[in-house]
Amino acid sequence: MTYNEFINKELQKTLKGMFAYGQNVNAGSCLGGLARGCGGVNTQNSEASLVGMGMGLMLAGDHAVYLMKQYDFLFLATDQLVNTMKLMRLIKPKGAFSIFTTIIDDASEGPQTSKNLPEFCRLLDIEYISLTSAKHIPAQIKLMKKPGFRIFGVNKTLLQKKVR
Amino acid sequence: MNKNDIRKAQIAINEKLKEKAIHTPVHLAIGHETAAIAVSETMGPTDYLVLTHRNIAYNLARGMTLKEVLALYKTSFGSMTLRNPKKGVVYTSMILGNNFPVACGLAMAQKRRGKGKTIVLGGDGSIEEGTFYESLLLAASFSLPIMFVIENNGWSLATKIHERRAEIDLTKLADAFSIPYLCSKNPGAKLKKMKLPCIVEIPVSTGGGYTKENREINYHSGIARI
Repeated sequence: MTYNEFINKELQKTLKGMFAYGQNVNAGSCLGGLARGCGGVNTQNSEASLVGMGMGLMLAGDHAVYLMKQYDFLFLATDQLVNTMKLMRLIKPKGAFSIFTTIIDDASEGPQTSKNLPEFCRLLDIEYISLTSAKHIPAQIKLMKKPGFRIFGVNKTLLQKKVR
Repeated sequence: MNKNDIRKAQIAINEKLKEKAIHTPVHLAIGHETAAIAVSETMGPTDYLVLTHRNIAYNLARGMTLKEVLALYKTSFGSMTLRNPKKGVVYTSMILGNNFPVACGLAMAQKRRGKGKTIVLGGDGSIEEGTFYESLLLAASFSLPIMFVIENNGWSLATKIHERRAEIDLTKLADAFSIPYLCSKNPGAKLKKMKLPCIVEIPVSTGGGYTKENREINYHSGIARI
């Protein structure tokens, strides 16, 4: 089994009953197979507002996950990640909101691959969870149900590797 | 509170601003009282109200007392993000356009539960932000129970609409998304009859402007010249 298949299996289990959404999450390759069978809702291409919508769902007490194809588009939502999150820290909503995204950093996609997601999250005081080992991934993905906001990232190069 | 009480409370806040007794930047909404009451009266117990930096009339219309407002001005929320969740005012943002997508999320949660609606406020300035267009598309695509209330006072700080941008015809924009549109200075009970999602434009005159160097200015925050 590849990491891609392993993570997909864990997402299928955790996302039951949650509101999962994103662009092409339930069509075509379903984010390279990561979102296949997760019951996600396909959306428009509006990253800033899709992140803001997740904040609103969390504020209402829901559990939401935005499945984002690749993290480069996340920067369109900087206002929500900075200003809305600042308010959410004061409000402390009972709901949960996660962004799950892939890091495509194979030096073949132009200048966008030079950004560093963990560093960006640290700067904004956002909890960042890096999926790197099969041992920890099931427990890490279950955190999507924990109240609060966090970003999950997995490197594309890991996805095709076999789980040992 | 009725219209007169909301006006009186705002004048009382203005007097405190003159005395420099309030340290958070306050955006008074003198002239917005009728709109605030109309919106408040259309709200039910499971509805959400999402506001902007110019939120004072709405918080007072939702039953917050002047004493409560002044006490909250001293908290981390200050004036521009003032909220009152017990009365449905669950989120207020001082960033133009920031609140539209958050409101869509609240409306999405209400749709999943099958009850309640969200009313989100904006102005002729915030409809210039990209999130307004994106949120209208979200609302229309998912048939969200959301009402976009746009208070149009024609001003962004010291520039009138025609001095800063092309005209935005909200009738045509609503039509483009196939959602209803209403424009009224006093929408009153008409709000309750609106099919959601929808856009409601309320032309308002924000009182308190002044003239500086022979130029008319609509006040930003602080003391209103009344």
